[in-house]
Amino acid sequence: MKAKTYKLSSESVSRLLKKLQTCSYGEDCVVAYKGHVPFLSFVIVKGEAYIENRKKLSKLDEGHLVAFDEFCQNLPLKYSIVISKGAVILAIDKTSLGDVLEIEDLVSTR
Amino acid sequence: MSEKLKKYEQCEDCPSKGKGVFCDLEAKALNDLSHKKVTNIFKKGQTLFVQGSPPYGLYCVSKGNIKISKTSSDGKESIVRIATDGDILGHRSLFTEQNFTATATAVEDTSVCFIDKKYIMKLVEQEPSMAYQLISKLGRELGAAENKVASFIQKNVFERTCEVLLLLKESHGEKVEGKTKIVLKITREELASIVGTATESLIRILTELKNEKAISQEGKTLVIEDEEKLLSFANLNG
Repeated sequence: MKAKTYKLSSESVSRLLKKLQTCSYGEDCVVAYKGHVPFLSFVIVKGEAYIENRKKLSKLDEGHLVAFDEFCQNLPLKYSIVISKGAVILAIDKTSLGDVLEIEDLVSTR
Repeated sequence: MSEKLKKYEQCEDCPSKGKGVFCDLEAKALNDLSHKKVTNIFKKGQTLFVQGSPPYGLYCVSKGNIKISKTSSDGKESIVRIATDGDILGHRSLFTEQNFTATATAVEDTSVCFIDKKYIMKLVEQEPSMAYQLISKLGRELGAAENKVASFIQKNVFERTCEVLLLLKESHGEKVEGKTKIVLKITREELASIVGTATESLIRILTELKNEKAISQEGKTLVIEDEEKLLSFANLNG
């Protein structure tokens, strides 16, 4: 299953870490559901996350920016996003979007 | 078969119009809000936010029911309230700049709107009517929380169960032929959690109330047959 994600450089992630609050979850947690328009886009700082569509899983690890296009364009997701137990993520909301990312940060992985 | 739940993209079309903190906004502001918010339908069991995660905005329930629960360090879940049509969620964490102190989960298919933090703060500054509605809501919630604490200290399980049934009658009651059906789809375990007792105790008490003809059951739905009796049992009469 193809879902567009981006890979941020370690410098970009470091810059984001200075501006945004990290979040981690005690259990595997669905942070965005298939069919929903995402409220947030997510960057994996540490650990893993998964894209789920029925039973197909794609693993995401450090540096991946996920659900960005759908978040910017208010499109429904074609997959769910599951953050693994212990993973640390950054969430980008509409408030911070204009402040934190440069076009050059975004290197499409798919 | 129940009607499929719709997404209410425009505030003007919301089935909870008049019940929420944004409803008194003027037409232009309401239209602007309609374009800024994101609406999704959360299926039963899906989570809006998790205890401990940071707030990025505020959630507004258009149609449906969301349980707000706290999980203790030993994993025990306690339901602290049920948010329903017109209620907002996440406002306390947003304004206190704290992480969510509870988890919000849909107990049935629920249409929810999300409004991001920056826009909410702008509305609070620019729209005094909305700010007033928020303050009123926080005041009412504080009052309800104080009543709940007093109830836990002063009342036994039987009295608390009757009180919770009466509260659910107010928030989720549907009058049918002189009786009131509680149209909230929660399990006995969840109802026990709201009362603050074990499921077995709750079932025993419900049986007692049925024997007293204070309540009855239609399938899984509880029906308030005699409100006066329940008020008396809950020690709420004068």
